[in-house]
Amino acid sequence: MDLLIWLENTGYAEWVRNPGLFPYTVFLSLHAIGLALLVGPNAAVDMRILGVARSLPLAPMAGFFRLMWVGFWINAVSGLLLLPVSAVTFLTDPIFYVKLGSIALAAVILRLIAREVSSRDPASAKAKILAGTSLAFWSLAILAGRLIAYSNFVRWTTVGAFVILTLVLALVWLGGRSIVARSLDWAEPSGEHV
Amino acid sequence: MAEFLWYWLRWPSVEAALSNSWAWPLCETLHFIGLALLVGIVGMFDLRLMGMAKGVAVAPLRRLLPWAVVGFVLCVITGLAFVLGIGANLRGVHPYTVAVTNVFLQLKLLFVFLAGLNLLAFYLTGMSRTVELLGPGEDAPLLAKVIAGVSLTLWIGVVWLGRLVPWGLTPETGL
Repeated sequence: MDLLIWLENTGYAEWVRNPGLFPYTVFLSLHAIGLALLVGPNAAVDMRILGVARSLPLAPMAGFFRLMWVGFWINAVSGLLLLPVSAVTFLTDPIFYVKLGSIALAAVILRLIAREVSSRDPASAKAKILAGTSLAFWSLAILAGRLIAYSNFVRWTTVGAFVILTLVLALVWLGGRSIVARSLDWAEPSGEHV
Repeated sequence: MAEFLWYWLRWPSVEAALSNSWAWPLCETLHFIGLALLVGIVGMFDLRLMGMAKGVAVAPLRRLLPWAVVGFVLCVITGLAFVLGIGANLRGVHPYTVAVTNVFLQLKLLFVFLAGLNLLAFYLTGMSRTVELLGPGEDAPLLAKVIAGVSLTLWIGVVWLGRLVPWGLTPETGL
C-alpha cells in the first residue's frame, strides 16, 4: 500500500496527470488503438473458427497474429504508463484484477488458437471452444475496464444489463438465424469446409 | 438554423433512457466493442492490401467486412446516444452546445466523413474490383495501397480523436 501511495506521488505520476492533453490523453488514445488492433482481428479469427466467412482459409490468417501482438504490447506499455496515475484506486479494486485476469486468459487462448490455426484441422471442436472462450474473455476485459470508473451499484446493474442484452441477442440470433446468417456469411449448420 | 438544431437535437427520451444507472456504461462498453470490430477488421483488410499476410486471398477476406459494418452500426447508435443524451451525464447540458463547441467531436466526425469519401474513391477508381481478383501471395496495385493506407490512418485518427472528446467539453458545456 505504501508503495502504491508512493507511486501515485512520484514526479512521473504528476507529469502524466498534468491537466493538459499531453501525455495523459496520448496514453489513453494509444490504449484504445491497441485494443482495436488486438481485439478486432482476434474476434474476427474467433468468428471465422465459429463458422463465419467459411470461404476464408484459416492457415494464411497466421500472418495477422503479429498484428494482434503489436496491439497487445501497445496496450501493455500504455497501460503500465497510465497505472501510476491511479495506482491506489486501480490496484486495490477487485474489478481491475478481473480485467487483468481476463486479458491474461484471453492472451493464453490467443496462443493456443494460433497453434490450432496452423494445425491440420483449424476449425475442430477444440478450436471452436477456444474461440468462444476468447470472445467471452475479451468482452469481459472491455466491460471490466470500463466499469473501473463506476460505483459498485452501477457495476452490478451494468453487468446485469450486459448479460440480458447478450441473451436477447442470442435469442434473436437463433430466431432470425437463416436471414442474418446469410447476410453475415455464417456457416449453415451442415456443410463446413475449411 | 441554430434554433432549428437546438430544437431537433433535444431528445428528452434519449436522455431519460440514459439516466438508468447501467445505460451509460453499457453504451460505453458497446462503443468499445464496436470500435474494435470496425477498426480491427477494416485494419486487417487495409494491411492485407498494403502487404501484410499476403497469403490471404482478398475476396474471401472481404467476407469478414459485414462484421466491421456491425461494429460501425454499434458505434453510430451508441455515439448518437452519448451526444443526444449528454444531459444524462452532464445535467442541463444541451446536445447542440456540445455539437458546436467540442472541437474533438467535430474533428472526429470530419475524419469519419473523410473515411467515407476514401471508401467511395475505392469503388470509383475501380480498385474495389481489381483487388477482388487478388489471390494468395498477389500484390495490390499502388493506388489500392495508397487508399488502404489512407483508410488505416483515418480510422486510427477517429479512435484517437474519439478518446479526446471528453477533453473537448468547454466551460459552456459544464466542464
